[in-house]
Amino acid sequence: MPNAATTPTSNASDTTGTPIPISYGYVWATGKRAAYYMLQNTHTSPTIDFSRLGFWLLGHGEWDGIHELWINDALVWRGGNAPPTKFPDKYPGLTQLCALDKAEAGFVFNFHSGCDSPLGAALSPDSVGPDQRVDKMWPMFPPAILALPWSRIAYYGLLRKQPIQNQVSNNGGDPNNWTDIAPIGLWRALKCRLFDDQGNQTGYAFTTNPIWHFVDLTLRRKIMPDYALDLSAGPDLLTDAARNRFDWGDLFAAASYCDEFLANGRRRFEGSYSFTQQTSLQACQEKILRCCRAFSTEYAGKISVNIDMPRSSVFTFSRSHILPGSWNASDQALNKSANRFIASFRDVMVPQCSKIASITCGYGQNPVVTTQDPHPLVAGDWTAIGGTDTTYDGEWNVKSVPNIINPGTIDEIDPSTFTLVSKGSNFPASLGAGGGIGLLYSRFKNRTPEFWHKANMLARGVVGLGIPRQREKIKESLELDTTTWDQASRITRYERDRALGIDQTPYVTPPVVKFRTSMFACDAAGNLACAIQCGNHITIDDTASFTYAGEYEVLDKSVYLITAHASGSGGEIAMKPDENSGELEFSLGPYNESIMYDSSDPTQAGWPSVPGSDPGNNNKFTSIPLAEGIFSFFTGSAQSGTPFQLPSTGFPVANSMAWAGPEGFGSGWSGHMATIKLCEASSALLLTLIYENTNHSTWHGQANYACATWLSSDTPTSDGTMTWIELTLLGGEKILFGRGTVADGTAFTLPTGYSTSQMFAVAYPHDGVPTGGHNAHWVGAYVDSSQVAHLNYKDGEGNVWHGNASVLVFAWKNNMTTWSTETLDGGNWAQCPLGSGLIFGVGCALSVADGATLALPDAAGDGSTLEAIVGSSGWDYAPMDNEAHGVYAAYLDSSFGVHLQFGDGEGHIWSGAADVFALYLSPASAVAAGVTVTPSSASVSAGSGVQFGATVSNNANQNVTWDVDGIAGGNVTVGTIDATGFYVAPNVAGSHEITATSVAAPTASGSAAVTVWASGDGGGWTINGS
Amino acid sequence: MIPYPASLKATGGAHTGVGPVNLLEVLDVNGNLYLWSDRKGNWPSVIFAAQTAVPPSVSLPVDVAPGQYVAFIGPHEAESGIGTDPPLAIASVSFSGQGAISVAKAGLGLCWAELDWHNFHVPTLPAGAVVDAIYVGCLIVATGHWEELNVKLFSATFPDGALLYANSGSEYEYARIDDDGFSLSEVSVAVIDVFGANSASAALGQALFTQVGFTVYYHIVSAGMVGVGDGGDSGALEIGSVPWQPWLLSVPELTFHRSQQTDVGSFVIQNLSGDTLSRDFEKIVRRSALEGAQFVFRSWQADAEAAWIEVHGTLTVEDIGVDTAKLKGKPAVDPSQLDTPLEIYSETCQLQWGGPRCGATGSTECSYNYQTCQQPNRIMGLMNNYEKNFGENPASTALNVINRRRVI
Repeated sequence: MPNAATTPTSNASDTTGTPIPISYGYVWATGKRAAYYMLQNTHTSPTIDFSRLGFWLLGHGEWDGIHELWINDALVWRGGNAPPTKFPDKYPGLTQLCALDKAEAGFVFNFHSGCDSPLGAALSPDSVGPDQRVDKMWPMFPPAILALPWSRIAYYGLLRKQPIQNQVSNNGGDPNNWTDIAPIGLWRALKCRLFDDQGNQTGYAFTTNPIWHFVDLTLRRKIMPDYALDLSAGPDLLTDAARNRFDWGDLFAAASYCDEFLANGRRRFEGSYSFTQQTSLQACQEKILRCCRAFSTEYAGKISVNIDMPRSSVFTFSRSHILPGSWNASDQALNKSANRFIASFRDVMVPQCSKIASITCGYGQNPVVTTQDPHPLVAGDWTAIGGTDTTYDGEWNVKSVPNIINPGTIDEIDPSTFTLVSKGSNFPASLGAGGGIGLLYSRFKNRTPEFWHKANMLARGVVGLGIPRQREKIKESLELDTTTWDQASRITRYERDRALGIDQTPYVTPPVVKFRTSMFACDAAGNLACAIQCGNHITIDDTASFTYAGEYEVLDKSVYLITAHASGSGGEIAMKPDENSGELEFSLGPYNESIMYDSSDPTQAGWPSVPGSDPGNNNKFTSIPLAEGIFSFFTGSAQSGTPFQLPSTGFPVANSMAWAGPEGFGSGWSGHMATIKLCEASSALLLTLIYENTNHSTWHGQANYACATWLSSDTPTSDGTMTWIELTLLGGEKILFGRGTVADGTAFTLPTGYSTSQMFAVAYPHDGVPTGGHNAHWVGAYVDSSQVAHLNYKDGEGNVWHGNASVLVFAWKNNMTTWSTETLDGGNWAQCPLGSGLIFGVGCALSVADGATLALPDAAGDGSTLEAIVGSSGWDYAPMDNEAHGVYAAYLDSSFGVHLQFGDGEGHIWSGAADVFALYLSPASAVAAGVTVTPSSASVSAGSGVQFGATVSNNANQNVTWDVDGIAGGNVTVGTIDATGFYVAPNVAGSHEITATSVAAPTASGSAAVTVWASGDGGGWTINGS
Repeated sequence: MIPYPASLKATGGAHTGVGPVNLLEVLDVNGNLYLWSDRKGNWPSVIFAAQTAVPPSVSLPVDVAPGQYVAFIGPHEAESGIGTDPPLAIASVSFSGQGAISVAKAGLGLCWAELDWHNFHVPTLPAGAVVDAIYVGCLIVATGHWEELNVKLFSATFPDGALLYANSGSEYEYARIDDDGFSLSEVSVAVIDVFGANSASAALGQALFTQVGFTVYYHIVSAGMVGVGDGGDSGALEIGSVPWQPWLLSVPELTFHRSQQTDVGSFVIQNLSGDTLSRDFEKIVRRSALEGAQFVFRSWQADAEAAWIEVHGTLTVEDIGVDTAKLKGKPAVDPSQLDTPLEIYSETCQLQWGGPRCGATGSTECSYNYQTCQQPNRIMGLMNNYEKNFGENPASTALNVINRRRVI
């Protein structure tokens, strides 16, 4: 055991000489311990003697923050959950945290993000982070210590009085009761610059997008290593010369591809890696690229990254392109290739230890979980629950576990239930089987699942005549650092099948083709061969090779320039033209879209993870194309103090607008709600929901949020009341989002060009001051028909008081006249087609009763996205004479049922009214458009006319094109039809078909039959024989 | 696909019968630019264009004439001086490299601030460059009582040396700007607040000076060059063309891989011109440093004004023979050669002295240790000389034993 005589400040010699790590994404790290000390003889009361304090260096800054801090295997800190309080003893001003395990009183945790220390700042220890001044804990070290701010290095300082395991007593003066600390944390590492497709820096934020990691690493190591990094202002912008070293169009396209959500609800590629050992830049870049199926090329001084993704062929080679004698096609030599691919990674997700059989939760009680089999949990464990698709998905603390019955005997019965510590309201009372649970502690397990190419193993497993083949296994380990099993599976199988061909029977090995062509070759489509780059998809047609015709990827390209060999001596130079002057040589491998896996192989071995248990598992978002750029909208809910994140494809925080409304109240309520002290989604993307009682005691809750963010040059404007952002959708329609925090009774005015008849507006409580000592039974916020915002609190005696409301406004200009509206069960919806065949829609349902179902337009159905936020707008649906602790529930369930309830924490729940704001994007194919032609049939005499009309269903664009018998506009033989549908019959009798085809959805059409009667002689009519 | 212009598709290669020309341009570490081609002619230079590109934020004093080039020269140092007459309490003055100045004064009298910029790095102009004019300029954005100072000051300093403002502020009710001396080595202006000279009320003003620097207009005179775009022997060249020396004998095969790697072989340069005792190329090698020189190679289709292939990289001298010299090329950024992470925890500071991360502004480079550090806030080193080293490890830590069954 350590004691005062033997515990020195740490020797930091194990730190010097080691690389300063560069880390991206989520990392599980302790850091290098740079200073360590045990306090003694401090003469404090209560004593903090035998507390340990130290500094740990994490790596190159600037890091974003921490999710979890563990000390001696106990979770002591979860980001955002424990408010800092003041350190109470002889070191005033230190930030003391209330540790989750409440092991002891003294716990200081100062994180410094690793920006530049301010120039000229004094070296006085006055910082508690996250800035990069000198940390306040330094004076607690022995005197005459040189305290420095460790500019540009992310680090943290800890002070903690750590009890030994199985303490006999908590005597603070007994050194044997207190021990050293071994911290480790789950960190969000480096913030990266984010760019648009022109190379304009659009943001600077934590990201898991591997493309921005690649750019940052390349900049940081070589292109622009020396730049200033200010805590508030961020890093210097790239110089023009540095920016010109990258191909931003390719990079942005690759980043966007990584960012897309797959069918399993996960982004396609994310990256987390820590480069702690000195290696080459190439090795680091290759690891990043491997994690996203990408490759990097450089041309004309510009570095680009491309992902192996489905792409069009850029050149078709025919026989005429192949230079005589240059064609060489064969199988790839695989005799030394690996066929046993091992994905080596640390799992960022929590392994599942038990499957959930059911969860029950009495009102205001602690949820009780039953597992399908005995579970290994003990009281105090921090766990992750996932896969229930309810608000139970998240992190929980285990409150209690039943005792083992007959422990250690043959009749031992292990527990299959456990009780969670309540997190407050808005958790279903009863839940059936589904989902799983795991220990947070077991995150970051090393995993090495293997992905065998069984066909290749068998092919190489010849033993001898008459002896069955064996599977010959040649291993290769793919270092993927920190990732998920899903991504590791997709990447490793891609690498395996790209090298060996698809693992199938009969097994066909992949070909390799090499040939030369003219430097100036041009295919039938006018493409130039010289423009082909490595990684391009090209086609070999069957005139070049009947056997090897197919789709290929360019692996190598050699250019034999038009030149000559020079040689000479004695004042003369002899020039001899190069043999291959003016030729290109290509080496090709197969281009195979079927190995670009977007789903993991369910047949592969591997233990299951708790779904959604990775840190920062942010919500999906709906991205809508703009005329220039893109905009994303997303909704979600989380506990107060939780940050939410923008899509990682370069959306700048400054280009975002967010709203929040109460969704529930937490377990720590300390009275009845008098008002909501603060409900906000801040500009720093942090959710806050604080309820307050008449005594100013506060408690937190869960909040709903919605966020709009745009990647375009549009900038918000403010009129003093509201902040507006006008965006131009693909196709030209202009839309408007507005956000403002206004006092009850405040009206807003739409910007010029927008009309209140083309607007949706809702409101949420933002803050308020308790008045009259009343306790609220309800709270509701709304915008009335005069654009006046309201926030009302009401008690059971009819007292009403007010506060400030947060207003969400959406308006459309209809400047391209493509918007259409509809009303469904009182909900109003507006939608417009986008140029790419997409349908964009927004809706708003006001004063919806708790339990009602939100009616959706057809286009918002299957296949579309739907983002919705539910907020309390009123009361009196079910009068209840109880005082609320807060909003009990506010959400839209999976069946589109609207829920808005209040609760008092004592078993009483009552209903309120909800305003629902929703937004969706529907692919054109999600709801098939239809065209109806009226009249459906007509008879006209030769040479006369009839007017047809067409209605397009499920598409706001009503424009159609007309044809007669398949001839656009018809002709004199079949009759003509103009753009309005007016048909003029030909001069001869016959039957024809009139067809109207939707402009927005060309696959949708409708028809009508027309019969043309020959006109009689002398101008009379002949009626078909009668 | 390489995004070729339509002109290359339309006119390139066999379409017109004009063969591409091989162009090798080399910029050494000393700033010398060499343009070598495999035949006589004049073609645009990538390096030259990049060097002389005017920053997009700079507005030109006058239009560029046909055949003219423009280079911009910015300052690398700045300083300020502040004074009042009689002595006044100046509430706030700030000054940065850009030159933000804010004055709030109390009492009667003048106050002024003198702003100086120095250390203008003159770019290397190509051989044959003749300077037509040099303009010094700065953009002033002023607010408060100084708002009428919002001007772009331009003064032609060469060749006639006249200090004439193309557009300047004159003294008005509140303030004026004096040129305190414009030369090729220094730009100095004085902002003089005159409002308070005759009034007891405080005069307030803020001004931000940007785009401080010189704009150099020049053309290139070259004789004896014959080639595409050449105006003949008169020396008058077309816009965008610069003289090339036809010393490039042969170029290597270029191989691109599905990786960041590009294989570049050896370029062969003739070593014949000059005399047998002192060949021109040898003189270049001896007075310069081709080791590590930056190169841009293009296979240039002159009639399409576009390149079939463009490769950027760095050179090393492979061999200098009697008649030929070989320069070996490789990618400028060879990631396989770059230690990563580069920086280590050390008592030696890892920063570049004087750079943005270091922040030192002195005139003497430090020794990259704490004792000579000029910005201790920024030193990137571990200072642990205070520590006692007992040679002991910290006491072992009692950890919880986690040994639980896993049921799936």
